[in-house]
Amino acid sequence: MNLEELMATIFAGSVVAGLVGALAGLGGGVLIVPLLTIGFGIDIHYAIGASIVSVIGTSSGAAVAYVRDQMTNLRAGMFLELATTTGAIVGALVAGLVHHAVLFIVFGLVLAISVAPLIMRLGEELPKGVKEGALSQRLRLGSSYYDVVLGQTVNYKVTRVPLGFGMMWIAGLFSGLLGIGSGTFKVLAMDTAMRMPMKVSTTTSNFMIGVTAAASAGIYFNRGEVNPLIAAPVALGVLLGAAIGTRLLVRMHNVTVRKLFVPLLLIIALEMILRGFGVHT
Amino acid sequence: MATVISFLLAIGVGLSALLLIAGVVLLLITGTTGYGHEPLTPPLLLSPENTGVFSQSIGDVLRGILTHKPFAVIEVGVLLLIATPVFRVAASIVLFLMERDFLYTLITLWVLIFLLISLFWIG
Repeated sequence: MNLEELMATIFAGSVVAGLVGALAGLGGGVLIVPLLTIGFGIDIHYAIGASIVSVIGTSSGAAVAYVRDQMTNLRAGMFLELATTTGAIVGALVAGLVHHAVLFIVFGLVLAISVAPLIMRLGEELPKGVKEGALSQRLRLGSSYYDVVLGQTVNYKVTRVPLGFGMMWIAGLFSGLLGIGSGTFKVLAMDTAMRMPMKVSTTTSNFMIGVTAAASAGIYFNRGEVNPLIAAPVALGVLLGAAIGTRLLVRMHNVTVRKLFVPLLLIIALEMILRGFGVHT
Repeated sequence: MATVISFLLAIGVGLSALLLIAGVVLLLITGTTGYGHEPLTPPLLLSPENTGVFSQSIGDVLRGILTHKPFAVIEVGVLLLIATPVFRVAASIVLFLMERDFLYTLITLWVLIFLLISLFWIG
């Protein structure tokens, strides 16, 4: 296979990754790194560099439609970005220091954990009895939004901010270390730790993903780990795949679709862990 | 204001995609990266020893694009893509400032600083 064919195949694979990512609600990042490393034998640092760029692409692309959505809690998002961006920078730096086997194993574990929300129902639609913490009050994180589906205005408070901040830092760490969006961990932090309504958690997480990814992308770029030959087809492919995927998603029954991908994702997670231990299947 | 941000984000992503496509097309047509990698073969993609060549500062890359170096075109596309969330954060600073929310102006400013640290990282 010559260079053109290789790049075309990477592009095609990225379209599929973007598509599946959008349908599974996980984003392309978690699929791109395994695709490039296990599928194409590309060095994991290049894979992460390309993946993190594609994460920004899909995030900003989606943001075009959602800037005006009034469910995103901008204050919470921005405050928590202090945690995710610092975590991401540390993650990117650590990725440059550890043996690549560590990256493979951690990636597999993180991917496996990320599958959990597809199986279990996390978080509350309308959290009850949330006692606003002192920090939350000081930061004015509580807010409200109009829930179209429920037909009512939902007022909510935020709690356990320090815990949420800590979890966000870890979400950022994973994002910078592995080249993924870490949406799962961000939602977990807001949903479960800070008890924000589910819709607010997901929309705010989507907003945060791109910013967090940008925090580590700069470091990857400056370290020369964003290989243009790989990053270009990957970014373009994932953008296209995600665009198609989100359109398809509207016509499908969410719950069923997501569950379909669980076995696939777990297998990929296992493959990554095995690769980390030097097992080539 | 939200419409403006949305519009500019769309331009950012769209322009970035165009640059990425243009860079790839340039690469395949000229058969060169603009930085002396002839001949272009698959190992270029795969081997990590080439890292030195992709380590380009933002200044180099901008100069490179003026001479139509394929790699530089792609890299500017990548930088533009990275810049879109940075721009979004900067816009939020302005929004908070307009609301006279000085606490969040400061918080968002710090997020911007962290982003810029990453973008201008040395070493």
